[in-house]
Amino acid sequence: MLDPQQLLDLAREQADSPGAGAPRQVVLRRAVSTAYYAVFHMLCGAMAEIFVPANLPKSRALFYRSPDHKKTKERCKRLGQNPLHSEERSFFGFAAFSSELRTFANTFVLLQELRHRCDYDPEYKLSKAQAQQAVDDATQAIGSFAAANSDEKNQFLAYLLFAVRPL
Amino acid sequence: MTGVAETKAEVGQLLKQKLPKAEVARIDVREQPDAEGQPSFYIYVVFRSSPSRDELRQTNTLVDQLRTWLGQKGDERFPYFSFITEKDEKELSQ
Repeated sequence: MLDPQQLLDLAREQADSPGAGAPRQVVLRRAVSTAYYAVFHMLCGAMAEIFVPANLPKSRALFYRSPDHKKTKERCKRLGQNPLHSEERSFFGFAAFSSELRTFANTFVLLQELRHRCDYDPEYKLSKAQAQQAVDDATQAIGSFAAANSDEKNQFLAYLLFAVRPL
Repeated sequence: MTGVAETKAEVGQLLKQKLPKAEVARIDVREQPDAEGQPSFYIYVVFRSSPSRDELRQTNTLVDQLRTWLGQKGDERFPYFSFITEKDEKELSQ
């Protein structure tokens, strides 16, 4: 499994690029992409560790590889809402996830969108401060997730994997 | 659906609460689809001078607050925030 902290450290090095003059756009774009992947791999690791015992490495690997970027973003949009949509509200039996998990969900959406622009929009330009903020946002998102209640995290991750299918 | 002007005014209020010392030069709000084609708001906040990194960390709950406000109006569009200083904006436009 990729270590999210190492990815964050790398993103920080890229965003802080200490050379003289304005940092190259390619380096700042890589910083944003790396920061996003730090959050994504943290999520993949959490899914594998929470749902599969450590003595089943192949099953863990399958869970680790299961999240899809687009679906995870769509589902994070729904879980970041306060109050939740009626479908999720009625399924979970509460009005909204905690502020820690909402912050995580909304930051995930923001970072994925920014990463998309950095990786695919040739005309997009960002400042060093914006790249640094993306790294700060990723760091905060991972911290918010870690601080959330474990039962709530379990439900949050299960939804990201499977969503709620109508009965 | 919420209008651009109304959203811009709400963002201004939220920024005053979150970053009371920051000097905001301009707030641009655009309605456009995101990478998945979903209708969204792109909110571009331009500061006269750079707020500190600690101050900017206070902005991570802005999306949550604005989404709650939009949701109360039946608007589900996601607000994508971006912060920049006038100096950086000028440099990037060259």
